Amino acid sequence: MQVEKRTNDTSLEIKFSGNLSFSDHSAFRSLLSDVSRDGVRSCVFDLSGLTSIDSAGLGMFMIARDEAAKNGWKLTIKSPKGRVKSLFDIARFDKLLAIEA
Amino acid sequence: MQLFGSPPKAVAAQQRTTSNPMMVQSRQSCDDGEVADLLRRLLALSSVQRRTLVSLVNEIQIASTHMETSVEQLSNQFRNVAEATREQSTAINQLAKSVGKVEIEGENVELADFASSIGHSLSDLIEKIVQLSSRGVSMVYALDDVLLELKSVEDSVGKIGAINELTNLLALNAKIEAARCGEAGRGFSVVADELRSLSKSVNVLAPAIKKQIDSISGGLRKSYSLLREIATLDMSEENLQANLRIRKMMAALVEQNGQLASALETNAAATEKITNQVAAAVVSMQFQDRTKQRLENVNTVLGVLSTAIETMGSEAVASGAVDRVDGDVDEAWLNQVIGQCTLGEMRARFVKGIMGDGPSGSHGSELPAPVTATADADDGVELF
Repeated sequence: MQVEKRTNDTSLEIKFSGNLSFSDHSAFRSLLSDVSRDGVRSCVFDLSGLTSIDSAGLGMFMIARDEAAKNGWKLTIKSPKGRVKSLFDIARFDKLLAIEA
Repeated sequence: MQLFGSPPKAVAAQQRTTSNPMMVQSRQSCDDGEVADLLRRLLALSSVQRRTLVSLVNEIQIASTHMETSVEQLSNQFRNVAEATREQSTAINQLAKSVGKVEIEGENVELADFASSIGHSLSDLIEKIVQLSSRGVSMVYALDDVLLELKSVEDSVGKIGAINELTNLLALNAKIEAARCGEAGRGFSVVADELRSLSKSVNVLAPAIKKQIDSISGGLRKSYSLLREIATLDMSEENLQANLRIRKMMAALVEQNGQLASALETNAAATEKITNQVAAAVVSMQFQDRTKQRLENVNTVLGVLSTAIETMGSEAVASGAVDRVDGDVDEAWLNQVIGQCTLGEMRARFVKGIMGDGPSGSHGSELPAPVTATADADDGVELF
């Protein structure tokens, strides 16, 4: 997993690329705590560059949702593509997360 | 004479030679002998006519009875066909109704609902997997925290060791200082010994604690890899494709089933149509009844004609013009009548009917051949 952060006044956009799997759990955790510590109101996860994901990777987005709710910031998922999008559809993530095309 | 078309050649020849002068004579003066001869011949023809009429009446009765039996058989067969197609129609309708359903634990479920419920179940399953994975990752985070805590405990134990080294050194110094004081420091020396002994105990304890912490860390790391196994489920291309394929297959199955049901419904409608048509055919068979009545009327009329001919013959005898009713049966007329009859069985009855009660002559061996080649003894073939 590679991430690229872009900040403006009120929101933070994080662009994911490559493959999100269990081995990324530490990096993902510190990413979440960074977002919470920065105190942004809104954060967008841009998944357009993400090519594959396993169940742990999907689970991490659930943790991100809980973390956002706990620390009072809004999480938006943007542009899941291909296989990642298919999995989001099958797992009915649209009912759990705010997803933009 | 017109009844039989052109007269046989023998008669015609006779007429040519005799009738013309006779006609002239009859207009002028009538020869009694010639009139009597004509009357005899007319009576002979009448006799053939009468016997033919009787035979015809008999044939019509046979035909009518045959038709009645056949039509009754046909009606029964058609009724059976109608019954069979009605049952078939019911069966097909039931099939069409049941084809769209599957029975699951005694409950009828529409196939379309079944297919969509499989899709839902699949999504439910993946949702659960994702939840499980998310809990797994959360637990890994908790374990990370515990391992961090343990690391700091390990550091603390190391610090205790360092402090203990100093304590030991301090006790040694106290012991030296107590020896320098001589008898006055004796008590202090004992305290210093105790302090060193305590320090030694701590020295033994610290590595034990370190070992235990290592053991706990090992156990936790093992759980860590177990959690990794739980949280990580292969969401590879193949699995995803399999899921999509199942959905597509179910959709195709539902579609195909719909087509099957509609085909069955069409079939049931067609069968119902056949049933109605056959029932209508059975009704149409009632023509036989009307035809039978007509044939009976025809027979009655023919009977009247036959009687009239007989009466005329009797009157001719009574008048003394001729001596008997059944003059000699004219062989040429007979051959003409029988020759027109092409059905072998019917011809046999005609021969018997016309000649049987007449004067037995030499006709039997001179019966004319049937006029058409199809006339044969096999009536089964002739019926068609």
